[in-house]
Amino acid sequence: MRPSRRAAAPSLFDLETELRKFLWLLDDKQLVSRGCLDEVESHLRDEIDDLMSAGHSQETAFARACQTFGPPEELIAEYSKLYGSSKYAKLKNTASHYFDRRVVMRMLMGTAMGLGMMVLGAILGGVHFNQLLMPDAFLMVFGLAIGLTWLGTPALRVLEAYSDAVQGKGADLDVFRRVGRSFLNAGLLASFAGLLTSAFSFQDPSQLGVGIATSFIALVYGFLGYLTLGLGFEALLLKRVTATDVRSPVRWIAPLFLAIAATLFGWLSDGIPLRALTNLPGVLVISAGVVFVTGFSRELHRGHLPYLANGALASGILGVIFQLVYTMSNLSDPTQLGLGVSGALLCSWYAIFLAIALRSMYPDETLAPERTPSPVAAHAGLALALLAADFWLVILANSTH
Amino acid sequence: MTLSKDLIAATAEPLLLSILSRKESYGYALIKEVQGLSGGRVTWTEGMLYPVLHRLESQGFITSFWQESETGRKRKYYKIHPDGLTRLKSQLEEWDAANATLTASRGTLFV
Repeated sequence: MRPSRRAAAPSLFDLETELRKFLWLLDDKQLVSRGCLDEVESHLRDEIDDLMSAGHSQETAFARACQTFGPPEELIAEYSKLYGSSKYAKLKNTASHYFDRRVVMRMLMGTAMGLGMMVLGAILGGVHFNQLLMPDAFLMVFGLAIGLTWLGTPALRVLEAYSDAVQGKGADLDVFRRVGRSFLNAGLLASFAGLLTSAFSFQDPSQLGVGIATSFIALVYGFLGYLTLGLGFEALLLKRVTATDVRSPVRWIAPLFLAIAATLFGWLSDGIPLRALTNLPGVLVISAGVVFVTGFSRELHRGHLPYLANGALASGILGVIFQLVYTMSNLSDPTQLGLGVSGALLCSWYAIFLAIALRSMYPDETLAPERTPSPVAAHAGLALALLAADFWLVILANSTH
Repeated sequence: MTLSKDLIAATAEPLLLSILSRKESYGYALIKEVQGLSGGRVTWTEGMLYPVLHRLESQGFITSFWQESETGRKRKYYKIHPDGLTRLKSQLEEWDAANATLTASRGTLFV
Protein backbone atom coordinates (compact mmCIF):
# COMPACT_ATOMS: atom_id res chain seq x y z
CA MET A 1 0.00 0.00 0.00
CA ARG A 2 1.29 3.47 -0.86
CA PRO A 3 1.81 5.55 2.26
CA SER A 4 -0.25 8.71 2.41
CA ARG A 5 1.44 12.08 1.81
CA ARG A 6 0.41 13.19 5.31
CA ALA A 7 2.15 10.25 7.00
CA ALA A 8 5.28 10.64 4.91
CA ALA A 9 5.73 14.35 5.66
CA PRO A 10 8.13 15.02 8.55
CA SER A 11 6.35 16.36 11.62
CA LEU A 12 6.97 20.08 12.16
CA PHE A 13 5.42 19.99 15.60
CA ASP A 14 7.71 21.17 18.37
CA LEU A 15 6.29 20.68 21.86
CA GLU A 16 8.53 23.25 23.54
CA THR A 17 7.53 26.00 21.07
CA GLU A 18 3.84 25.15 21.34
CA LEU A 19 3.96 25.06 25.11
CA ARG A 20 5.71 28.43 25.14
CA LYS A 21 3.02 29.88 22.85
CA PHE A 22 0.26 28.56 25.11
CA LEU A 23 1.89 30.10 28.19
CA TRP A 24 2.32 33.39 26.32
CA LEU A 25 -1.45 33.39 25.87
CA LEU A 26 -1.82 33.18 29.63
CA ASP A 27 0.80 35.86 30.13
CA ASP A 28 -0.67 38.10 27.44
CA LYS A 29 -2.04 40.71 29.82
CA GLN A 30 0.79 40.07 32.27
CA LEU A 31 -1.67 39.34 35.03
CA VAL A 32 -0.61 35.80 35.84
CA SER A 33 2.51 35.53 37.98
CA ARG A 34 5.64 33.49 37.20
CA GLY A 35 4.70 30.97 39.90
CA CYS A 36 1.22 30.39 38.44
CA LEU A 37 2.68 29.96 34.94
CA ASP A 38 5.21 27.41 36.23
CA GLU A 39 2.39 25.51 37.89
CA VAL A 40 0.32 25.47 34.66
CA GLU A 41 3.34 24.33 32.65
CA SER A 42 4.05 21.51 35.11
CA HIS A 43 0.38 20.46 34.90
CA LEU A 44 0.34 20.42 31.09
CA ARG A 45 3.57 18.43 30.93
CA ASP A 46 2.15 15.83 33.37
CA GLU A 47 -0.98 15.48 31.26
CA ILE A 48 0.96 15.27 27.98
CA ASP A 49 3.24 12.57 29.46
CA ASP A 50 0.19 10.55 30.57
CA LEU A 51 -1.51 10.85 27.17
CA MET A 52 1.69 9.89 25.33
CA SER A 53 2.18 6.83 27.51
CA ALA A 54 -1.44 5.91 26.61
CA GLY A 55 -0.33 5.79 22.95
CA HIS A 56 -1.07 9.30 21.64
CA SER A 57 1.40 11.22 19.52
CA GLN A 58 3.06 14.28 21.04
CA GLU A 59 0.97 16.59 18.87
CA THR A 60 -2.35 14.93 19.74
CA ALA A 61 -1.40 14.78 23.43
CA PHE A 62 -0.68 18.50 23.44
CA ALA A 63 -3.94 19.33 21.62
CA ARG A 64 -5.97 17.22 24.07
CA ALA A 65 -4.21 18.67 27.11
CA CYS A 66 -5.03 22.21 25.87
CA GLN A 67 -8.61 21.21 25.21
CA THR A 68 -9.02 19.82 28.75
CA PHE A 69 -7.38 22.93 30.15
CA GLY A 70 -10.11 25.13 28.70
CA PRO A 71 -9.84 28.72 27.52
CA PRO A 72 -6.91 30.58 29.16
CA GLU A 73 -9.21 33.59 29.71
CA GLU A 74 -11.13 31.58 32.31
CA LEU A 75 -8.03 31.06 34.45
CA ILE A 76 -6.88 34.66 33.94
CA ALA A 77 -10.32 35.91 35.08
CA GLU A 78 -10.25 33.69 38.19
CA TYR A 79 -6.70 34.72 39.15
CA SER A 80 -7.59 38.40 38.61
CA LYS A 81 -10.52 37.99 41.02
CA LEU A 82 -8.20 36.40 43.55
CA TYR A 83 -5.07 38.53 43.26
CA GLY A 84 -6.37 41.74 41.69
CA SER A 85 -5.68 42.84 38.16
CA SER A 86 -2.90 45.35 38.71
CA LYS A 87 0.75 45.00 37.78
CA TYR A 88 1.51 45.42 41.48
CA ALA A 89 -0.59 42.34 42.28
CA LYS A 90 1.37 40.37 39.69
CA LEU A 91 4.68 41.58 41.10
CA LYS A 92 3.60 40.70 44.63
CA ASN A 93 2.47 37.27 43.54
CA THR A 94 5.69 36.67 41.61
CA ALA A 95 7.71 37.70 44.66
CA SER A 96 5.80 35.22 46.80
CA HIS A 97 6.86 32.53 44.30
CA TYR A 98 10.54 33.29 44.81
CA PHE A 99 10.42 34.11 48.53
CA ASP A 100 8.50 32.26 51.20
CA ARG A 101 6.99 35.14 53.18
CA ARG A 102 7.24 33.29 56.51
CA VAL A 103 10.89 32.38 55.96
CA VAL A 104 11.79 35.95 54.95
CA MET A 105 9.91 37.29 57.99
CA ARG A 106 11.80 34.92 60.29
CA MET A 107 15.12 35.95 58.70
CA LEU A 108 14.36 39.64 59.10
CA MET A 109 13.02 39.17 62.62
CA GLY A 110 16.04 37.09 63.72
CA THR A 111 18.51 39.58 62.23
CA ALA A 112 16.68 42.65 63.58
CA MET A 113 16.32 41.23 67.10
CA GLY A 114 19.90 39.91 67.26
CA LEU A 115 21.51 43.03 65.77
CA GLY A 116 19.26 45.32 67.82
CA MET A 117 20.24 43.68 71.10
CA MET A 118 23.90 43.60 70.14
CA VAL A 119 24.05 47.27 69.16
CA LEU A 120 22.08 48.21 72.29
CA GLY A 121 24.51 46.22 74.45
CA ALA A 122 27.51 47.83 72.72
CA ILE A 123 26.11 51.35 73.16
CA LEU A 124 25.17 50.74 76.82
CA GLY A 125 28.71 49.42 77.30
CA GLY A 126 30.10 52.78 76.16
CA VAL A 127 30.91 52.08 72.49
CA HIS A 128 29.90 54.80 70.00
CA PHE A 129 27.70 53.60 67.15
CA ASN A 130 30.02 55.07 64.49
CA GLN A 131 32.91 53.03 65.93
CA LEU A 132 31.06 49.93 64.74
CA LEU A 133 30.79 51.09 61.11
CA MET A 134 33.88 50.48 59.01
CA PRO A 135 33.16 49.86 55.30
CA ASP A 136 36.74 48.83 54.41
CA ALA A 137 36.79 46.15 57.14
CA PHE A 138 33.34 44.99 56.02
CA LEU A 139 34.48 44.64 52.39
CA MET A 140 37.65 42.86 53.43
CA VAL A 141 35.77 40.30 55.59
CA PHE A 142 32.94 39.83 53.07
CA GLY A 143 35.35 39.40 50.13
CA LEU A 144 37.55 37.00 52.08
CA ALA A 145 34.53 34.98 53.23
CA ILE A 146 33.23 34.67 49.64
CA GLY A 147 36.68 33.63 48.42
CA LEU A 148 37.18 31.06 51.18
CA THR A 149 33.72 29.56 50.61
CA TRP A 150 34.27 29.45 46.85
CA LEU A 151 37.55 27.56 47.32
CA GLY A 152 35.71 24.55 48.72
CA THR A 153 32.19 24.86 47.31
CA PRO A 154 31.04 25.80 43.78
CA ALA A 155 29.44 29.27 43.79
CA LEU A 156 26.32 27.90 42.11
CA ARG A 157 25.78 25.40 44.92
CA VAL A 158 26.02 28.18 47.50
CA LEU A 159 23.56 30.40 45.59
CA GLU A 160 21.21 27.46 45.13
CA ALA A 161 21.26 26.66 48.87
CA TYR A 162 20.37 30.26 49.84
CA SER A 163 17.77 30.48 47.05
CA ASP A 164 16.16 27.21 48.26
CA ALA A 165 16.22 28.46 51.85
CA VAL A 166 14.38 31.73 51.12
CA GLN A 167 11.82 29.81 49.07
CA GLY A 168 11.08 27.66 52.14
CA LYS A 169 12.47 24.48 50.58
CA GLY A 170 14.90 22.12 52.25
CA ALA A 171 18.48 23.21 51.48
CA ASP A 172 21.98 21.86 51.89
CA LEU A 173 22.85 22.62 55.54
CA ASP A 174 26.49 21.82 54.86
CA VAL A 175 26.73 24.94 52.66
CA PHE A 176 25.65 27.19 55.54
CA ARG A 177 28.19 25.51 57.84
CA ARG A 178 30.93 26.22 55.30
CA VAL A 179 29.81 29.83 54.85
CA GLY A 180 29.68 30.30 58.63
CA ARG A 181 33.19 28.89 59.03
CA SER A 182 34.43 31.04 56.13
CA PHE A 183 33.12 34.17 57.88
CA LEU A 184 34.84 33.19 61.14
CA ASN A 185 38.10 32.53 59.27
CA ALA A 186 37.75 35.74 57.23
CA GLY A 187 37.18 37.73 60.44
CA LEU A 188 40.31 36.22 61.96
CA LEU A 189 42.43 36.79 58.82
CA ALA A 190 41.25 40.39 58.41
CA SER A 191 41.78 40.99 62.11
CA PHE A 192 45.31 39.64 61.82
CA ALA A 193 45.89 41.96 58.85
CA GLY A 194 44.79 44.91 61.01
CA LEU A 195 47.13 43.75 63.74
CA LEU A 196 50.04 43.63 61.26
CA THR A 197 49.22 47.17 60.09
CA SER A 198 49.50 48.30 63.70
CA ALA A 199 52.74 46.43 64.26
CA PHE A 200 54.38 47.87 61.11
CA SER A 201 53.33 51.42 61.92
CA PHE A 202 54.37 51.39 65.52
CA GLN A 203 56.01 54.82 65.23
CA ASP A 204 52.88 56.45 63.81
CA PRO A 205 50.16 56.57 66.51
CA SER A 206 47.39 57.46 64.01
CA GLN A 207 48.10 54.39 61.88
CA LEU A 208 48.40 52.26 65.00
CA GLY A 209 44.86 53.26 66.00
CA VAL A 210 43.47 52.55 62.52
CA GLY A 211 45.08 49.11 62.43
CA ILE A 212 43.76 48.13 65.83
CA ALA A 213 40.26 49.44 65.07
CA THR A 214 40.27 47.39 61.83
CA SER A 215 41.45 44.38 63.79
CA PHE A 216 38.55 44.72 66.27
CA ILE A 217 35.80 45.50 63.80
CA ALA A 218 36.91 42.78 61.33
CA LEU A 219 36.36 40.26 64.11
CA VAL A 220 32.92 41.78 64.78
CA TYR A 221 31.93 41.48 61.09
CA GLY A 222 33.29 37.94 60.85
CA PHE A 223 31.28 36.81 63.87
CA LEU A 224 28.16 38.67 62.68
CA GLY A 225 28.43 36.97 59.25
CA TYR A 226 28.76 33.63 61.05
CA LEU A 227 25.72 34.36 63.26
CA THR A 228 23.43 35.40 60.37
CA LEU A 229 24.49 33.71 57.12
CA GLY A 230 25.87 30.58 58.79
CA LEU A 231 24.27 29.74 62.12
CA GLY A 232 21.04 31.65 61.42
CA PHE A 233 20.34 29.80 58.17
CA GLU A 234 21.21 26.46 59.80
CA ALA A 235 18.67 27.22 62.55
CA LEU A 236 16.16 28.39 59.93
CA LEU A 237 16.16 24.98 58.27
CA LEU A 238 16.84 22.72 61.21
CA LYS A 239 13.92 20.36 61.40
CA ARG A 240 12.67 18.49 64.41
CA VAL A 241 14.19 15.02 64.41
CA THR A 242 11.65 13.31 66.65
CA ALA A 243 8.75 14.54 68.73
CA THR A 244 10.47 13.22 71.87
CA ASP A 245 13.25 15.78 71.38
CA VAL A 246 11.33 18.29 73.45
CA ARG A 247 12.06 18.06 77.12
CA SER A 248 10.18 19.94 79.79
CA PRO A 249 12.08 23.06 80.98
CA VAL A 250 11.32 21.96 84.56
CA ARG A 251 13.90 19.19 84.15
CA TRP A 252 16.79 21.52 83.41
CA ILE A 253 15.89 24.56 85.52
CA ALA A 254 16.93 22.85 88.79
CA PRO A 255 20.44 21.73 87.66
CA LEU A 256 21.03 25.10 85.98
CA PHE A 257 20.03 26.92 89.16
CA LEU A 258 22.37 24.65 91.17
CA ALA A 259 25.29 25.41 88.81
CA ILE A 260 24.70 29.19 89.01
CA ALA A 261 24.26 29.08 92.78
CA ALA A 262 27.51 27.10 93.24
CA THR A 263 29.47 29.61 91.12
CA LEU A 264 27.98 32.60 92.89
CA PHE A 265 28.75 31.04 96.28
CA GLY A 266 32.39 30.59 95.22
CA TRP A 267 32.67 34.19 94.05
CA LEU A 268 30.88 35.78 96.97
CA SER A 269 32.86 33.74 99.51
CA ASP A 270 36.03 35.18 97.87
CA GLY A 271 34.75 38.61 98.87
CA ILE A 272 33.80 39.85 95.38
CA PRO A 273 30.68 42.05 95.68
CA LEU A 274 27.64 40.92 93.68
CA ARG A 275 27.52 44.34 91.96
CA ALA A 276 30.92 43.66 90.38
CA LEU A 277 29.60 40.42 88.86
CA THR A 278 26.75 42.08 86.96
CA ASN A 279 27.35 43.33 83.46
CA LEU A 280 24.12 44.33 81.72
CA PRO A 281 25.69 45.28 78.34
CA GLY A 282 27.51 41.92 78.34
CA VAL A 283 24.29 40.05 79.11
CA LEU A 284 22.53 41.90 76.28
CA VAL A 285 25.26 41.15 73.73
CA ILE A 286 25.50 37.46 74.70
CA SER A 287 21.71 37.08 74.69
CA ALA A 288 21.78 38.53 71.16
CA GLY A 289 23.67 35.42 69.97
CA VAL A 290 20.93 33.20 71.38
CA VAL A 291 18.25 35.51 69.98
CA PHE A 292 19.76 35.24 66.47
CA VAL A 293 19.19 31.49 66.55
CA THR A 294 15.76 31.59 68.21
CA GLY A 295 14.60 34.43 65.93
CA PHE A 296 15.51 32.49 62.79
CA SER A 297 14.02 29.20 63.98
CA ARG A 298 10.55 28.07 63.02
CA GLU A 299 10.19 26.09 66.24
CA LEU A 300 12.66 25.37 68.98
CA HIS A 301 13.62 21.88 70.01
CA ARG A 302 16.58 20.18 71.62
CA GLY A 303 18.38 19.90 68.28
CA HIS A 304 18.91 23.66 68.50
CA LEU A 305 20.86 23.50 71.76
CA PRO A 306 24.36 23.18 70.19
CA TYR A 307 23.46 26.06 67.85
CA LEU A 308 22.35 28.20 70.78
CA ALA A 309 25.63 27.33 72.53
CA ASN A 310 27.62 28.41 69.44
CA GLY A 311 25.57 31.61 69.24
CA ALA A 312 26.36 32.38 72.88
CA LEU A 313 30.10 31.78 72.36
CA ALA A 314 30.27 33.86 69.17
CA SER A 315 28.40 36.78 70.72
CA GLY A 316 30.50 36.43 73.88
CA ILE A 317 33.54 37.27 71.73
CA LEU A 318 31.67 40.31 70.41
CA GLY A 319 30.94 41.34 74.01
CA VAL A 320 34.66 41.10 74.82
CA ILE A 321 35.50 43.21 71.73
CA PHE A 322 33.01 45.91 72.72
CA GLN A 323 34.45 46.03 76.24
CA LEU A 324 37.98 46.35 74.86
CA VAL A 325 36.96 49.05 72.34
CA TYR A 326 35.52 51.00 75.26
CA THR A 327 38.64 50.38 77.37
CA MET A 328 40.98 51.52 74.62
CA SER A 329 38.95 54.68 74.10
CA ASN A 330 39.55 55.52 77.78
CA LEU A 331 43.15 54.40 78.28
CA SER A 332 44.11 57.64 79.99
CA ASP A 333 41.88 56.78 82.96
CA PRO A 334 43.39 53.87 84.98
CA THR A 335 40.08 53.18 86.81
CA GLN A 336 38.30 52.68 83.47
CA LEU A 337 41.10 50.34 82.33
CA GLY A 338 40.48 48.02 85.28
CA LEU A 339 36.72 48.15 84.82
CA GLY A 340 37.03 47.46 81.09
CA VAL A 341 39.30 44.46 81.51
CA SER A 342 37.14 42.98 84.29
CA GLY A 343 34.05 43.62 82.11
CA ALA A 344 35.66 41.77 79.20
CA LEU A 345 36.60 38.83 81.44
CA LEU A 346 33.10 38.75 82.92
CA CYS A 347 31.61 38.79 79.44
CA SER A 348 33.69 35.82 78.32
CA TRP A 349 32.77 33.99 81.55
CA TYR A 350 29.04 34.56 80.92
CA ALA A 351 29.37 33.27 77.35
CA ILE A 352 31.40 30.19 78.29
CA PHE A 353 29.06 29.33 81.18
CA LEU A 354 25.97 29.69 78.99
CA ALA A 355 27.54 27.67 76.15
CA ILE A 356 28.58 24.86 78.51
CA ALA A 357 25.13 24.82 80.15
CA LEU A 358 23.37 24.71 76.76
CA ARG A 359 25.66 21.94 75.48
CA SER A 360 25.13 19.97 78.71
CA MET A 361 21.36 19.99 78.13
CA TYR A 362 21.93 18.25 74.80
CA PRO A 363 21.80 14.48 75.19
CA ASP A 364 24.91 12.80 73.76
CA GLU A 365 22.99 9.89 72.27
CA THR A 366 21.24 12.19 69.80
CA LEU A 367 24.46 13.93 68.75
CA ALA A 368 24.43 12.67 65.16
CA PRO A 369 27.63 13.41 63.19
CA GLU A 370 25.81 15.62 60.66
CA ARG A 371 24.49 17.80 63.47
CA THR A 372 27.87 18.36 65.05
CA PRO A 373 28.15 22.13 65.27
CA SER A 374 30.95 24.20 63.75
CA PRO A 375 34.15 24.42 65.79
CA VAL A 376 33.31 27.91 67.01
CA ALA A 377 35.16 27.39 70.30
CA ALA A 378 38.48 27.11 68.44
CA HIS A 379 37.71 30.32 66.56
CA ALA A 380 36.73 32.01 69.80
CA GLY A 381 40.10 31.03 71.28
CA LEU A 382 41.98 32.46 68.27
CA ALA A 383 39.90 35.64 68.39
CA LEU A 384 40.75 36.06 72.08
CA ALA A 385 44.45 35.58 71.27
CA LEU A 386 44.22 38.32 68.60
CA LEU A 387 42.43 40.62 71.01
CA ALA A 388 45.10 40.00 73.63
CA ALA A 389 47.77 40.84 71.01
CA ASP A 390 45.91 44.07 70.14
CA PHE A 391 45.70 44.99 73.77
CA TRP A 392 49.36 44.25 74.30
CA LEU A 393 50.27 46.46 71.31
CA VAL A 394 48.30 49.38 72.72
CA ILE A 395 49.84 49.02 76.18
CA LEU A 396 53.30 48.77 74.59
CA ALA A 397 52.68 51.84 72.42
CA ASN A 398 51.49 53.82 75.45
CA SER A 399 54.53 52.88 77.48
CA THR A 400 56.85 53.75 74.53
CA HIS A 401 55.40 57.24 74.04
CA MET B 1 -24.77 11.48 35.11
CA THR B 2 -22.41 14.37 35.72
CA LEU B 3 -22.80 16.96 38.45
CA SER B 4 -23.90 20.51 37.65
CA LYS B 5 -21.28 23.24 37.47
CA ASP B 6 -22.65 24.93 40.62
CA LEU B 7 -22.51 21.75 42.67
CA ILE B 8 -19.00 20.97 41.44
CA ALA B 9 -17.89 24.45 42.52
CA ALA B 10 -19.61 24.12 45.93
CA THR B 11 -18.02 20.74 46.70
CA ALA B 12 -14.54 21.68 45.50
CA GLU B 13 -13.31 23.12 48.79
CA PRO B 14 -14.33 20.26 51.15
CA LEU B 15 -13.16 17.69 48.58
CA LEU B 16 -9.74 19.31 48.26
CA LEU B 17 -9.34 19.66 52.03
CA SER B 18 -10.45 16.06 52.51
CA ILE B 19 -7.92 14.67 49.99
CA LEU B 20 -5.12 16.87 51.31
CA SER B 21 -5.92 15.80 54.90
CA ARG B 22 -4.80 12.30 53.88
CA LYS B 23 -1.66 13.20 51.91
CA GLU B 24 0.10 16.10 50.22
CA SER B 25 -0.57 16.32 46.49
CA TYR B 26 -0.30 18.52 43.38
CA GLY B 27 -2.85 19.91 40.91
CA TYR B 28 -2.78 17.27 38.19
CA ALA B 29 -2.89 14.39 40.72
CA LEU B 30 -5.82 16.05 42.53
CA ILE B 31 -7.86 16.22 39.31
CA LYS B 32 -7.15 12.56 38.60
CA GLU B 33 -7.99 11.54 42.17
CA VAL B 34 -11.37 13.33 42.11
CA GLN B 35 -12.16 11.74 38.76
CA GLY B 36 -11.41 8.32 40.23
CA LEU B 37 -13.32 8.91 43.48
CA SER B 38 -16.43 10.11 41.66
CA GLY B 39 -16.32 7.42 38.99
CA GLY B 40 -15.91 10.11 36.35
CA ARG B 41 -18.97 12.14 37.44
CA VAL B 42 -16.91 15.05 38.77
CA THR B 43 -14.46 16.56 36.31
CA TRP B 44 -12.47 19.56 37.43
CA THR B 45 -10.83 21.92 34.99
CA GLU B 46 -7.55 23.68 35.68
CA GLY B 47 -9.38 27.01 35.48
CA MET B 48 -11.51 25.94 38.43
CA LEU B 49 -8.98 23.99 40.50
CA TYR B 50 -5.98 26.32 40.73
CA PRO B 51 -7.85 29.47 41.83
CA VAL B 52 -9.53 27.42 44.59
CA LEU B 53 -6.16 26.02 45.72
CA HIS B 54 -4.61 29.50 45.70
CA ARG B 55 -7.55 30.94 47.65
CA LEU B 56 -7.33 28.19 50.28
CA GLU B 57 -3.60 28.90 50.55
CA SER B 58 -4.11 32.65 50.96
CA GLN B 59 -6.71 31.91 53.67
CA GLY B 60 -4.13 29.78 55.48
CA PHE B 61 -6.00 26.46 55.22
CA ILE B 62 -3.33 24.83 53.07
CA THR B 63 0.37 25.50 52.40
CA SER B 64 2.43 24.84 49.30
CA PHE B 65 6.01 24.00 48.43
CA TRP B 66 7.94 23.21 45.26
CA GLN B 67 9.60 19.84 45.02
CA GLU B 68 11.33 17.84 42.32
CA SER B 69 9.37 14.82 41.13
CA GLU B 70 10.94 11.45 40.38
CA THR B 71 11.35 12.59 36.76
CA GLY B 72 13.33 15.65 37.88
CA ARG B 73 10.52 18.08 37.03
CA LYS B 74 9.55 20.64 39.66
CA ARG B 75 5.98 20.42 40.94
CA LYS B 76 4.03 22.57 43.34
CA TYR B 77 2.72 20.40 46.17
CA TYR B 78 -0.03 21.37 48.57
CA LYS B 79 -0.51 20.14 52.12
CA ILE B 80 -3.15 20.84 54.72
CA HIS B 81 -2.60 23.23 57.64
CA PRO B 82 -4.11 22.51 61.10
CA ASP B 83 -6.57 25.40 60.44
CA GLY B 84 -7.61 23.54 57.26
CA LEU B 85 -8.48 20.44 59.29
CA THR B 86 -10.76 22.54 61.52
CA ARG B 87 -12.31 24.08 58.41
CA LEU B 88 -12.83 20.61 56.88
CA LYS B 89 -14.55 19.36 60.05
CA SER B 90 -17.03 22.25 60.07
CA GLN B 91 -17.68 21.90 56.31
CA LEU B 92 -18.35 18.17 56.61
CA GLU B 93 -20.81 18.90 59.42
CA GLU B 94 -22.58 21.43 57.16
CA TRP B 95 -22.74 18.94 54.29
CA ASP B 96 -24.03 16.21 56.64
CA ALA B 97 -26.76 18.57 57.87
CA ALA B 98 -27.71 19.51 54.29
CA ASN B 99 -27.71 15.85 53.25
CA ALA B 100 -29.85 14.81 56.25
CA THR B 101 -32.38 17.58 55.50
CA LEU B 102 -32.54 16.58 51.85
CA THR B 103 -32.99 12.89 52.71
CA ALA B 104 -35.75 13.70 55.21
CA SER B 105 -37.55 15.88 52.68
CA ARG B 106 -37.46 13.31 49.86
CA GLY B 107 -40.71 11.62 51.02
CA THR B 108 -42.68 14.81 50.57
CA LEU B 109 -41.06 15.58 47.21
CA PHE B 110 -42.27 12.28 45.60
CA VAL B 111 -38.89 11.59 44.04
